[in-house]
Amino acid sequence: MDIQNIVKNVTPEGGVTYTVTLPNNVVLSVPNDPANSDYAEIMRQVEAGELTIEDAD
Amino acid sequence: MALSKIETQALDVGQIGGRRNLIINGAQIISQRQTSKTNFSNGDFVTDRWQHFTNGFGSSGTVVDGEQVPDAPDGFKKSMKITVTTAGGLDSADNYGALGQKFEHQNISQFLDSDSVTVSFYVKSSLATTYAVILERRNVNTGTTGDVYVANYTINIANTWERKTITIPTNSTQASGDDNAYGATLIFVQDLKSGGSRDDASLGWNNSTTTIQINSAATDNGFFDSANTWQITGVQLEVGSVATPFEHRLYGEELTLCQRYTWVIKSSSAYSLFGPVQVYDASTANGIILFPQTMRATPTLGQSGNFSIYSGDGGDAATIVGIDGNTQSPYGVVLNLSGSGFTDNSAGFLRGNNDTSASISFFAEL
Repeated sequence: MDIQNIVKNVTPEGGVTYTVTLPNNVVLSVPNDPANSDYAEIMRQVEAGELTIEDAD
Repeated sequence: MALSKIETQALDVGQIGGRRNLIINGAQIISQRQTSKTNFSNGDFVTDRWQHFTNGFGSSGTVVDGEQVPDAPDGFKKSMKITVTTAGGLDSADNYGALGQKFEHQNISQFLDSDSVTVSFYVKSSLATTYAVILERRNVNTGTTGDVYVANYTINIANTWERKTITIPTNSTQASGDDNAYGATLIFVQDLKSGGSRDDASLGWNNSTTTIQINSAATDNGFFDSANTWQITGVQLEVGSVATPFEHRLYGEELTLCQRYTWVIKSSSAYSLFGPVQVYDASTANGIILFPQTMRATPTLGQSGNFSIYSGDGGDAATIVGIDGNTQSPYGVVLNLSGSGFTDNSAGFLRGNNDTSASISFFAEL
């Protein structure tokens, strides 16, 4: 997954999702679910130091 | 002769029983995302559940396309085709190109623990040579490859459909799971370049953490050196040592099985319905999506095109911001929507906005 940008969204109740931008401006909304393979790949890249997650404004 | 000695495949009575095939979309009839993909890259899908695997072709310049085509052997209508559109070979040792399907632990591990399984498939290629097939098992504790079964098959005549059968003996050494996690993959390798660490596997089971590895007899076959094609359909993986006739399922049944992993809602008209909406205020609303099938995991949302909310006083353009963090689940999600001019506290529906190609996608692939 070639992630160009990633933003963490947190609801007032604490629900978390991630807005991921891929090449060609493809935007995905990724849930906070370890069973989701996109979420797992995001966490792998973060742990490997390949990706930094921004907080939403 | 005792009845127990009668082997079903010798009866020549066609399909025997149902629900034998552990493969989803083995006949390549479902393609929710797209029917073709130029520059087929690692992880791309054309037909549902069938994924392209490659670690790249490097500076070789090789480009392959994937396509669902109406070319198939008797009894089938579709096949999945890989075409080398720019031939440059494989760049570096261990480079490869392949097509495969991943399985959840709970759908396959119990069979590999206790019995042999048999893979059968119809294949056709412009290059008559030796190719590799891999069945890899994942260790439930580590989540990584634990054992890899390696086999070869030969295409005898170029551009001719041939049916191949491979029986894989039981493998009970792996710590297998019974959940929705990634448990195994069946992989068809078009070619792999020798000289690295992936080309010296033994035929049979190999205890290894390397997912893609093949036997030396199937390396460097030249598939990516020329404008070759490779097609597959009628893929079946069943318990036991006998390849029975392909189990044909109805289109709707096959689609339902695919929708556990991917669901794409596509416009069928300029203002197609996507789901009900609850408008919160003039600029925010919630779209409610209930999945037709419990998905494997809470899915990723993808979208394309233009949308609007119709809420009584007409339509207003809407943007799908993302899935709501509070209510996400494998059963359904709420879409956060934004725009302007919405009717406060009203009910309505999310639809396309004069867009015949708008789509909303949900992905819960392995």
